[in-house]
Amino acid sequence: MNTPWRKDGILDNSVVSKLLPPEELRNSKAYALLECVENIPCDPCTRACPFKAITMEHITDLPQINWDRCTGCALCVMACPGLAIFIIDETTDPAKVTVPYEMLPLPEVGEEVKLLSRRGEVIGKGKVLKLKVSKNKTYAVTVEVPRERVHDVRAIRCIK
Amino acid sequence: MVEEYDVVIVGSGPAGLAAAEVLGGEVSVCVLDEQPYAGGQLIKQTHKFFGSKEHFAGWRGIDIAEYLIGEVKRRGVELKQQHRVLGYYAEEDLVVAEDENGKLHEIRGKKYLFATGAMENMFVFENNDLPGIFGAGAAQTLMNMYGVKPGTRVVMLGAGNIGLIVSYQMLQAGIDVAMILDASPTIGGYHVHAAKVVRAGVPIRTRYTVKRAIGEDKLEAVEIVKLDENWSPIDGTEEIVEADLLCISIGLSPVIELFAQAGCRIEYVPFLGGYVPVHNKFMKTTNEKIFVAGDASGIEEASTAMVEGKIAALAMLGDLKNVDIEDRIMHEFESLAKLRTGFFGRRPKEGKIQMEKLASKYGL
Ligand SMILES: Cc1cc2nc3c(=O)[nH]c(=O)nc-3n(C[C@H](O)[C@H](O)[C@H](O)COP(=O)(O)OP(=O)(O)OC[C@H]3O[C@@H](n4cnc5c(N)ncnc54)[C@H](O)[C@@H]3O)c2cc1C
Ligand code: SF4
Ligand code: SF4
Repeated sequence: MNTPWRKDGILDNSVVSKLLPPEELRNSKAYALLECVENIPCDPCTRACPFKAITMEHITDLPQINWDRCTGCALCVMACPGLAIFIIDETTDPAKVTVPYEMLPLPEVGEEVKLLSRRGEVIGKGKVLKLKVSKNKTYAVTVEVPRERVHDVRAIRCIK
Repeated sequence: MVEEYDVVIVGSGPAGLAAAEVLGGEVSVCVLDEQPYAGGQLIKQTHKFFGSKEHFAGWRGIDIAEYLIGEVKRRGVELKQQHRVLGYYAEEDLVVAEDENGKLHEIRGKKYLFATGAMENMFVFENNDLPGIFGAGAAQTLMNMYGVKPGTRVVMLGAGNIGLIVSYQMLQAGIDVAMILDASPTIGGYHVHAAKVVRAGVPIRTRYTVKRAIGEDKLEAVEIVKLDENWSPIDGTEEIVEADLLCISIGLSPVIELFAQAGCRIEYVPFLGGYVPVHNKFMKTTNEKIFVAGDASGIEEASTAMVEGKIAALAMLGDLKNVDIEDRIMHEFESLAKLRTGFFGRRPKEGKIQMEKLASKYGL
């Protein structure tokens, strides 16, 4: 297995591009993106999805997603203990990215936050559009993201 | 006066509690733990766990502990906190435990389960006794159990799952994580745990280590250095990183003193984390009264610790009462086999295979 991310913890574009759905689908609706690339013993994503879009035969298999079933509801984002699932919506301009969030302070809807890349670099600012929380206390925060940055933004930081 | 139970369990971590849950209501059980709270490592785990539903995946460690403690109490199991077990005495066939007032208690079981967990390995470098240098687990205890911030800016040594998770929890506690270092060429922990801290702005530097700690009477900075392919420091690559906290997370070793003292055979199995009591697949040691489960039998995870606890409990139940445990124990064996697949399961799997061979050598 070629695992360049095991040097610095960063998935580069060559890896991420293989995780993306076909372009046609990306242009038609919001979708869940699973940045989960190792055979770890884990499966809560498969149980979280009410539409059975995510499946896995064996606990250490990689999760498989059937995007035709995915509604972008973000329940899996809040369930995943790896914080490895994001909802991408590139049908709008600006685009939207939903990230898992477990830090303080909590942003409020309408507030501007910093947008961070997979490397943790601040690559801009965006407005918080939505905030959801699960009973296990992980938030799913939807932010506005410039379209050309939709495949780079993977975290947020509050400015306040 | 000697207190008598069918089963005496030492250690109320996931292994001990899972065993007590199986045994409670069937036989009389007492669980002894030196800590003021039951739950072992679980109670400081504020992150969500892996595994599958059966192993509480997606639950936070602390919530798993709370659930198990409730179940165990409901089944009439006696939980004794602040009872440190000093030893097992074969002649009298009992353990001696010291309570928080220094009072000694003699406790006898028909069977014993020692689920004593693991302790953190220390690392040798110049000035490693300066205040501000902690094991990652100790720093985690301060933060998550006592609500105390152990510092304001940390260097973490070790990019295994524990180093990564504790770094993430430090970010949550508002501690600035300067960097995570690891001497190996690759990150040892899961990518998803690494990705969480990296996208929060924490660099992970592989092939780096700590050369020395700097400070008068407490840690002020850490000197780090790059390593070459042979793990030797490269001259001229030293850097000084300001930090008032240095956490070491370079591995765990099974806590085996009780087994050694009780005369159980001990063997060195690197894939299991070092010296471990010899045990068969039913978790029985070379002393037929004494069983082992969890990290004490080989460093793994809470999920496998719970399954091993259940296996030991079922095996003890089979020995103590005339009940058919076969189907239930087969189910747990399958569960373990599933958890030990994949890239990250290969080490414990290989270690347990070696252990089975050792066990048969000792006639187990
Ligand atoms: C930071 C961190 C993150 C982790 N994350 C995960 C995860 O996401 N998923 C997962 O599955 N696992 C995880 N683990 C691993 C998991 O916590 C351990 O594998 C598990 O707790 C081992 O269980 P145990 O019951 O064997 O031992 P422990 O939980 O260590 O419990 C042992 C208990 O025995 C007691 N004890 C020891 N000696 C004596 C004595 N002589 N007398 C009385 N009491 C004694 C101790 O006080 C302790 O309470 C993590 C561990 C750490 C440190
Ligand atoms: S976003 Fe909703 S529908 Fe899509 S995979 Fe996740 S849980 Fe299922
Ligand atoms: S829950 Fe998250 S980390 Fe676990 S398998 Fe699913 S996507 Fe991967």
